[in-house]
Parts: sequence; C-alpha cells; structure tokens
Amino acid sequence: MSDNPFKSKKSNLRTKEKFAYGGYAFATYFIIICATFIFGTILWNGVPVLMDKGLSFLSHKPQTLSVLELEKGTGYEVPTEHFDNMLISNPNELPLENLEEFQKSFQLVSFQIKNGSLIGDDYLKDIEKDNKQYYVRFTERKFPTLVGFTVHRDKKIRISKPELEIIQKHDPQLITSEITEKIVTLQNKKVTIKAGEYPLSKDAHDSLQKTELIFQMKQSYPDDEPNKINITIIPKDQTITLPSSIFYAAFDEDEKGTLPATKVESIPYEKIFTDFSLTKGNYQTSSETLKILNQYGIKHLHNAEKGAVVINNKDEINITLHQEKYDQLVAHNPQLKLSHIEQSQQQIQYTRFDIAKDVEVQLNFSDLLAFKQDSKFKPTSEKTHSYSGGGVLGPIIGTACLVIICMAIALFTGIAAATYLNEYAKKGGLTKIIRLAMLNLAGVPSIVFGLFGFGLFVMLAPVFSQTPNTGSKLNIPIVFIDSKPDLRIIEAEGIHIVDSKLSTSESEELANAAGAKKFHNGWYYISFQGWGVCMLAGGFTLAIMVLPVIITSCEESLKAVPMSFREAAMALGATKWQSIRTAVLPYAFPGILTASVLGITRVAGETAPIMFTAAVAEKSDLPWQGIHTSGFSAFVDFLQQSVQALPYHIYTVAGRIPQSEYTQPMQYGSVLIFMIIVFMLSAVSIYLRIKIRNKIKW
Amino acid sequence: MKDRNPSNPFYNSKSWKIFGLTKQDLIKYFFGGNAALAVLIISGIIMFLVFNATSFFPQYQKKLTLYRLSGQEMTDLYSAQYNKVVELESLCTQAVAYEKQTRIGALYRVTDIYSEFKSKALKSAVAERKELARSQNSLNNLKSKAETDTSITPQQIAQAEAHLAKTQKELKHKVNQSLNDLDYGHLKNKAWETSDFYLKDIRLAVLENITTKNQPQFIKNITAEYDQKAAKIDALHFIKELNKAKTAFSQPLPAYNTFINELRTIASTNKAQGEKFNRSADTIIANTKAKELAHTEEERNKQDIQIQRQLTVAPNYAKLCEPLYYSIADQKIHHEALKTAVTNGISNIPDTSEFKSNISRGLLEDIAKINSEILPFLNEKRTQIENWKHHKEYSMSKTIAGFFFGTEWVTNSSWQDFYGVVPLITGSVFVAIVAICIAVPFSVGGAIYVNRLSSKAEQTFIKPFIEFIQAIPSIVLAFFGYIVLGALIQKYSQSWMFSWLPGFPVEDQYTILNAGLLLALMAVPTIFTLCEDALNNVPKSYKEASLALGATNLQTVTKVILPSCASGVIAAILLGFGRIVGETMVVLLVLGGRIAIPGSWTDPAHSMTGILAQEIGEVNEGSLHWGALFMVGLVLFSIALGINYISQKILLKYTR
Repeated sequence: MSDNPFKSKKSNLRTKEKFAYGGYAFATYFIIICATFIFGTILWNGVPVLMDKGLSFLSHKPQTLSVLELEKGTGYEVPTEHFDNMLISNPNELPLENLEEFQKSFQLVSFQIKNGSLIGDDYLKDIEKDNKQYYVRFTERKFPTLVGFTVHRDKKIRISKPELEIIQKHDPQLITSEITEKIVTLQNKKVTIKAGEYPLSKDAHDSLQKTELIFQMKQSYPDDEPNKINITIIPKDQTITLPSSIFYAAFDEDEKGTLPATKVESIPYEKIFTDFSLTKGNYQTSSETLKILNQYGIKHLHNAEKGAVVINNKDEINITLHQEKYDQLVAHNPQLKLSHIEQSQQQIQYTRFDIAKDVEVQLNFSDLLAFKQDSKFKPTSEKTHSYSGGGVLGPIIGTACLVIICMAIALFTGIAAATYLNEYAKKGGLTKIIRLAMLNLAGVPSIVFGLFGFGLFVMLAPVFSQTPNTGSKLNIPIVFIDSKPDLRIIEAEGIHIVDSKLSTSESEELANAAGAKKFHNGWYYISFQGWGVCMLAGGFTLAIMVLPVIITSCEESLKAVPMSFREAAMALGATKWQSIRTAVLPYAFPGILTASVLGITRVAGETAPIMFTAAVAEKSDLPWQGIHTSGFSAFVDFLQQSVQALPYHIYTVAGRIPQSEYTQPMQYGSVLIFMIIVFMLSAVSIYLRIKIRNKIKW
Repeated sequence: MKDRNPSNPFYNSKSWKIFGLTKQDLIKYFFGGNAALAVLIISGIIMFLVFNATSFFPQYQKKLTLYRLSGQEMTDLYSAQYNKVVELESLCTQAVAYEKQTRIGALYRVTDIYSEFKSKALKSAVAERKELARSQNSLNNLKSKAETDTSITPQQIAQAEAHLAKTQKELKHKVNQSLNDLDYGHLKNKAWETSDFYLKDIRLAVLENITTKNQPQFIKNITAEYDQKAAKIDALHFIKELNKAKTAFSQPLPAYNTFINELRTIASTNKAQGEKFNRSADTIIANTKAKELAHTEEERNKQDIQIQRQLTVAPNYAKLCEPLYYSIADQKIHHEALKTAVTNGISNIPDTSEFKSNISRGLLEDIAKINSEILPFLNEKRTQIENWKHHKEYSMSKTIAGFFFGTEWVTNSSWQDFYGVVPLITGSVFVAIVAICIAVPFSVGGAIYVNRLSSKAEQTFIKPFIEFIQAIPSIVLAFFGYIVLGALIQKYSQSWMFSWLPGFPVEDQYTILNAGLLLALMAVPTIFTLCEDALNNVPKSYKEASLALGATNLQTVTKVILPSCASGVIAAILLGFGRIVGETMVVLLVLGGRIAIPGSWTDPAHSMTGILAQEIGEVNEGSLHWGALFMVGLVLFSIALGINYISQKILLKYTR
C-alpha cells in the first residue's frame, strides 16, 4: 500500500471533503429545522384554538374570563346569544340537558327628554349606558332643586338638631313621624404643652394634623412600618383647644408615643341629636335635604353636593329604557320633562337548559353579566383570568391603526427624502451627513426609539388646547377666545377655571394650589405637555424607527429607473419636477410598494417602541367608540387615545399575567394570528419583489 | 442665473416666486428638508438622551452623600461581612441538600409527584366528588330520619345506598381515567428526577387516597425508605463534616445580626431625618405660594401652620452618627468571632472527591473559592470601618465610577437605591456573545453552503425561508422561549449526555442560554444575508484560478474565497451582534430578570434593554431613577452606534 503515493492521500481527502460538505449542509438545514420546529409548535397548539373558537376569535374583544363551578340544577334561562357564546368559550362538552328555546318579552318605554329638564348625574349615566348614541354635554347645573328618592324599608335616622332645622325649613312635610330629642354632653380639652423634643407615634401624629398645634417632625413615617415612633420638636410653649377624641389619641399618658400635656382643662358643651323615622315609599324633597340625608344611608343616584344637570341637547334623540328603570327615573326626577312617550314590547330569544352534573363553566365577562340576570344562577366558586376570554379584535384594530398612521408619515417623508437623495442631491457635505445619519439611525436599538418617543411625543410634544396642563413644560398663549369648555368636561377632567385677567404663570400656580391638573383662563394655548400615551405618539415613534428602511429601499427603486427616462423627459422640455413626477416616480412605484410592505412587516411586529408610547393592556372600547366630539376635534380625539396592539397583547397574556391553563389558548391563538398576518405581509413583499425582478426590464 | 434672463426663450416669466424661490426650488428644498430629517432625528435622539441623563449625576451624588452622612454606608460594611459568612453557610446547606437528592435518586421526589398528581386528579373529578358527598349526605339524612320517622321504608334506604355505591364507582372510574392520562410530562418542574419504576404505584396510591381517604401504604413505605436513606447519608463522614462546618459558620451569626440591625435602624432614622430636612425647603416655598393665593383667612392660617410645621433645624450628623462610632469598638468582638468561626468551618470542609452530585461539587468549589479570600475580606472591611468618617466628601468622580463600575442596581428600596450599570451591561453583552457563538457557525456555514455548494433548487427554497425567519416578530420568539423552550432546556439538560457542559444541568427556565438560543435565531438571517452578499462579491476569477491549480471545491471555498471576503463576514457578524444587543422583548421575557453579574451561561441575568422596558413606565419624570434609566439608554445607544460604526468601516474597506 505504502508504495502507492496517491491512494491513501486521495481517499483521506475525499472523506474529509464529504464530512465538510455534510457539515455545511447540516448548518443550513439545522437553521431550517429550528425555525420549522418553532412554527410547528405554534401551529400545533394554535390551530385547535382557532378551530374551537372559529371566527369569534377574530370578532371579539379580549376580556376577562370567569371560571365558575356550577352545581347541577334545572331551569337556567339566558338569552340565546349568550348561551351560544358559552358553548364557544367551553372547549369541553358541557352536560346540558332539556334545551328549549322560547321567547321572552320585555316592556320597553321610549321617550325624548326636553331641553331644560333637570336630571341626577347617575340617572343620566344610566341612560347613556343603555343608549350609546345619547350623550349630553351639559353646561349648567342647578342647586337646589326638587329631587326624588325611594326608601325601600322603614328607616330610623338620627341627625343633629341644626341639620333637622334645615330639613324642616326646606321640606316641612317630609317628616311625619314623631321627633325625639336627645341631649349629649361632650367635652373639648384645653391643653398646654411645653417646648422640647418628644417621641410621637403615627396615630397620634395623624390626629394632631387636624389641630393647630405647631410641631416639626424629624422624620416622616414609612408606609411599611406603621408602628414606628419618631421624634417631634415642639418649638415653643403652646396652648390649644381640641375635641376630646383627638385629646385621647394624642395626649393619653398610658399610650406609647403620645405627648405629655402640662395642663389639661375640660370645656364641656352640649349637642342635641334628634331621632325620627321614614316609612318606606317614594319621597320628593329639596336637594339640600338630600345632602343631609345622604350621610345617613339614603340611597339614590343624584349628585347631592353639586345638584342636578340641566339637559341641553341639540338633537332630539329617542331613548329606550326598560319599564322598571323608566319608572324609577320618573319617580326620582320630578323636574324631568318628557315627550314622545311610547310603550313597546321587545322579544328576546331565550334558551332554557338543565345542567345534569356538577361542572366547571368558562364564561366571558359580558356573558357572565347576562347569566347573572338569572336568579337561579349561583356558582359555588368563581375565579377570574384576565384577558383570557374573547378574542383579538381590539389588538388587531389597534395594530392596524398604528401601522396606518406610521406608514402615512414614514412613506411621505421617506419618498421625499429618497427623491432628494437620488434626484437632486449633489455629492457634498450635506448628503454625506444625511447618509451617515441614516446609517446610524438604522443601527439604533428599537427600545431607544421607544425611549425617545416617550420623552418627546408622550411628554413634550406641543398640543393646541384651551385647557392646558399645569405640569406642561411651556404654555404659550396664542389667542383669546372666550368660550368655556362644557361643564361636564370641566368636572370630569378637574379643570380649574381662572379669571381671564390673570397671567399664564399665575393661573398655573392657582390651579396647582387647588390641586387641579388643568386650567382654563379663556386663552388658547400651545402647550408643550406631550400627547400622552396615544396612537399618534406611537405612530410617530414607529415612523422614525422605520424611516431608514423606507428611505434606503425607495432610493434603490428610484435608482433602478434608467437615466435615459429622465433625460428624455428633460429633452422634451419638462421641468425637473415634471420629469420626476411623470417619468421617474411612476416607474419606481412597484419598488416603493415593496418597500412599504417591508416597512409594514417590520412595524407590525415591533413591541418595544410602542410599549410606553401607544399601547395599553386593557381597553374596553374600539378606537372609534366613545368619542363624543365632532368634526376635526373628533379626529384629534381619535388620534389621542391609547390602543391595544397585537404584539403588546401577546406580551401581556404571556408575560404579565399569572399563567394558567385558561390563558394558554389565548396565548397560542393570538400568536398564531399574529404570525399569519406577519407572514402574509412578508410573503406579499417577497412575491412583489420577484415579480418586479421578472417583469420590469429596461 | 442665466435662465432668469427674460431674453432666454425657455424662461417662463409667468412662474411665481416666493422670497426669490421658484416652484422648482421650493420642491427641491422641500425634498431636501425631508432628507435632512434623518440628521435632525439622530441629533435629536442624542440631545434628548443627554439632556435627560445630565441631571442624573448631580442628583445621584447628593443621594450618595446623604448615604454616607447618615451612616448607612458604614452599616453596609458590617452587613458585607455578615452576608459573606451567610453565603458560606447557605452554600453548605445547599451542597448537603443536592447531595441527598442525587444519592436518593428518583425516590426523592416521589411524595412531591404524588401530591401533584393528587391535586390534578382531584381537580378533574370535582363533579364526581361533589355528587358523592351529596349522596353520602342524603343517605345519612335518610338513616337518621328513619330512626324517628316510620314512613321511610328500607327500600328507600337501599336505593340511596345503591346510588352511593354507584357514585363511588363513578368517582373511581373518573380518577382512574385521569390518572392514566397523567405522566411525568405533566409535572410543573421538569427538572425533577423521575423513574418509571414508581409511576404505577404512585397512580394506585392516588386512587386509593381519593377513594378511601386513607394514607396509602405505598406512601408510608416511601417516606420510611426516604428517612432511612437520608439518615444513612447524614451518617456519611463527609456529610457530617460539611454539617459541622455549617454549624461552625452559623454560630456567631445571630448575635452579629442583632448588633447590625440596631445600627441599621439608627442609620435609616438618620437618613429619614436628612431627607425630611432636604425636602422641607421646597415644601415651605410651595406652602408660601399657596398662602399668597389663598382666598380665605382660614386657608391662610392653615398654610401658616403647615409652614411652621416644617423641619428647619438642620440635622447634626456628627451627633447622629455617634452611636455608630461607638460601635466600632464593640464590633471587634464580633469580628474576632467571625474569624474564628470561619477558620473552624474551613477546617471541616470535606474533600469534593466523594460527592456524587455535580451541583454539590460545584458548590463546594464555590466554598473553596470564598474560603481562600474570606479572611482578608473580613480584615479589609474592618479597616474600612475603622477609617470611616461620615463627613468625608463623596466626590463626583466616585459617583460617576459608581454608575459605570457599580455592581448593584437596586431601585425602590427603603434602605438605599444604587444605580450600578455593570450587571446590566454584562448581562446584555454575555447573552449577545452566547447568541453570536451559536449563530456564527450556522449562518456562515449556511451562507457558504447556499452560495457555493448547494443546487439551484435548494437555493430557491432556502433563501426565502431565511427571509421568513427574519420576519418573525421578536415577541413571538420571546413567547416561544417563555412558554416552550425554557421548560425543554430545563428537562433535557438533566440528561447525562450534557453533564460535561459547564453550568449543566440547568436549574432555571429563564437563563442566558435560553435567551441566547432565541437571539441566535434572530441573528442568523442578518449574518446569513450579509455573508452571502460578501461571498457573492468575490470575483469569479479567484475561484477559477484556484480550481485550475487543482484545488477541490471545498478547498477553494475555505482557503481562497472565505479569506478574500473575511472583512465582509466580520462586518456581518458585528452587525448581527449589534442587532442582538439592542433586542428587547426576548431578553425582557426570557432572560430571567435577576439583576446580578452572571457567573455562568446557564444563570438568569438582566439586560440594559430589559431594564428600560421594565422600569421606564413606572418612574416619575425628572426623578433620579428616570435619569438613571436615560443614562442606561445613552450607554446602550453608544454601544450600538460604536458597533455600527466599526462594522460600517470594515464594510467600506472591503468594498473598495
């Protein structure tokens, strides 16, 4: 063998070659196997979920899932719609028996409310809850007015004498029962305390807060150590008068951490209480009376402090309520003027069923509410799993909104920038800097974009507002328009109304002192207060992130248009812009389209930049629901709301809520849907690119 | 400006102008402005990060100054001594536990598995159990009623008894059914050692327990056997020695702990006073303003009282720290006690050779490592304590060093917040290196294969596939790692096949390894595509020349083509590295979130991107924590830009 110089060497080399070849092939196919394994796992677990839930997974919003234990029982009655939902939510078969569908009818009243009517706050909210199209942007309240309430059981009430006098003054007929008086002697204490340093407990400190004693705490009390005793300094000798309850909390010698009083003097005084009772029934009183009774357990839906709302709706809108609710509304709001009252009947399809065996039932929150209407429905245990019911409608729409906003911005600037770089720019300083900036921008981590977007758009970006934030970085007044925002908005957002003569900084200080977050002094402001966590901020952040990708690929497709096109256009007398518009951009369009699909794929999948600029975990409304303004301000309101987004939703259901077997279907289902969307997009971009490569040949 | 001459026939005199700019100029500048946006954005990001981060160091210095003034720093020196010895003690305890686990084997977890199976079986048979309870109840009721009420016939009782028997049977059937579906794959902790030998008995025991409510004999036997084995192991001479060492270590600890805790209370009270005083100036200003704006006399009085209640006497730190200075002398006794305890303990530490458990051996090695340095460490802390002065200035350079070289990132602590970025940077870089090490062979190998060795058909399939991988959103990979991969790694790393790897078997689900694997998959498409481009750009003549010289195809690739495009490959790897360092979602979910410098690639860690995503939403604007996070952002940004810059430089060089 050793005689042959070629043989051993050659065979050795060939095996080596084979091994190396095998190694390279293994490396390649291993990548593919890994990726396939991931896709496979998600498909394997996700497809059954989608099969189970069907289209309802796409058409429902994510909501809380309740897992109930039901004992066997008969005659459950629920609306068929919710019954069907129950069947979808439960992957296992339920032991249901004796299914029977029937019609149930309800008495409904439809009516219109006349302008100028008075109504209690929560009655209005109740109406608005049942009639989504009805929304009153009231500008006025009235106090005192006539209000009504119902006492469901005979009730004994004890109030002080002055309060009774107020009631008797406003509603002499209200109290028909016997009134008994009771005199109680109470004591105030006059205490003298010497200057010095004393230990003081938290309870004593808290009760002293309300008094006029001057003391300086050396430390504050940490929340996690309620029993800590700190040192307080009494800077000078003081004498104060205080109720005995505070005295016993802060000066009791037997307790630890109380102050030693050098001199104590009792000052007795008398207080008269009165007892009376209200029999059950409906009452109508003035709202001042209600304000007092409110503290003693009379239930109602009025706003006892601020008074009734004056209705001022421009449009006439029909309102529909159930009979009982209507009766309550009319009884409790005597100054409500109604018109067009019509009675009607509503037929709802119901399903009656028995449960043959004790069983665990999964119900979405909205279905649970419907089930709870049935008095027989008494689950023995109830556990909730957040975001585990329903589907992914909200997140999908949120992601779509974000992508649209982002691409609108990114494509506009991206195409313009690419046009400049390819058509106008000469090789020089500026172009070089721009290219360098773009290269670096492409390498910035997405979370840094998120940080930037958070700091700039969420916290700093300017808004036009009549009611700027007090915490805004800069408020610049532009124009004086003397129109107040609606009272409803003022109350809901805690806007502090200031005199229009005051300067901006004075108004800010006043509002701050009042603890309000916003102020209004009649001026329109550019306020650098940030847009808040909203679609617009998220869209801008994503646009900035995707800009380098868009510019680079747009430029590439512009470059691919042959020079002769431009030259021909110019030779025909077209201006530069005309030649770009007619001879370059149309031919670059397929390339730009590919670039934008690529951009969409990238943007739709990003989580980090939207985490604190746009996305929220929980939102019950879809973006276009719950907007009560109209015209341009409705558009602004639309953009200025936070949304659910699919990637963030996955992060929430996978990483931020407690894991359980009930959340798992939601996780795999959302991930699969997300993957399908992203892959479809990327398949489109790959297909487009191949098509362009094959089709367009200059 | 020739074309603006009216005599020029092409000059369109109708065109309007603004500030001397024609429509064409405006269009051009508009486009140019959009292009300049890129410059604006990048400088905006830099300015923004720097602007928000600048407030950090002065604020941090103030905080640390108070930390020193209040004496917290000194008590932390005491605690450092204490913690070191505690660590030794707990290592001993763990080593004993793991050794037991290994020696006892599958038996060790039998009772745990039994109770997990039991709870699962119980859950699946809820309805049957309730039905059983109901029928039992109704039978009992019937029987007790029958004593007084004659109308109840024996038939009724017999019926109820039959029903009871039936439900019992149903329960048994149901439990049996669900038990047959249960196996070790359903266990929550996949790292538990299991044996098929026990599976059948465990199932039977669960069934017996649920149907009869008795403690099954099998479990009694197992417990007895376990106790016997554990006692035997405890009697082994090296375990005895280890336990002795542990007792020695722990002996001085309780007394020292009470000693330290007293001092810590004093120090934290001092700090609270300092903070209160620092705050009071601001509060007084705010209250004065509120007083000026107040409408009523009553409100003005209220504000007046509030103003007078603020602490205006500056804390006398020298006096406040007196107890701490006194403690130095007392601490000497504790110091000596610690030293003797440690020497005693060390002398008892057994040799590793007789330990069967890998983990125990590793722990013993850790102990040995600590042992070699602990006495000097204790002495060093003692000298630091003796030289400690509360009024020494906390310099700016030390503050900056404290951020860049600090090994602790502690936030929202009632004791003291520390912002040291080292654990975050090491976490980020470590996981990126692991990922790159995994990704490079596959992606470079794959690029070579696809570009040079594979057939046309393979190319048309592999390239789009890898593009698809690039399109996988990071949150999907993070989800996969969080739900699937973590458990898989935990389970299969227990196998003997991997025991030679350092850090194996893996104890946690969320580790650097887990995140590294996923990040590797994310880096693969980037590196693969760029590598392939680089390979493509090698002139054809190289290949032809090499082949003509008689080299084989593979020799050509490895010896000629690869070296000639090495710079491109390196740039590709660097760009892949850059992409991984900046990746957020995977490290946020899968890295484990433990803020400590990782010791091994199977430890959990935390990262810069992860900490930003986790904490930025919860901090107040302008606070110290906010500044610290923006500093982290700045560091991350600089690292990413640096990597980007270097790789672009390399790329540029090679394209020339």
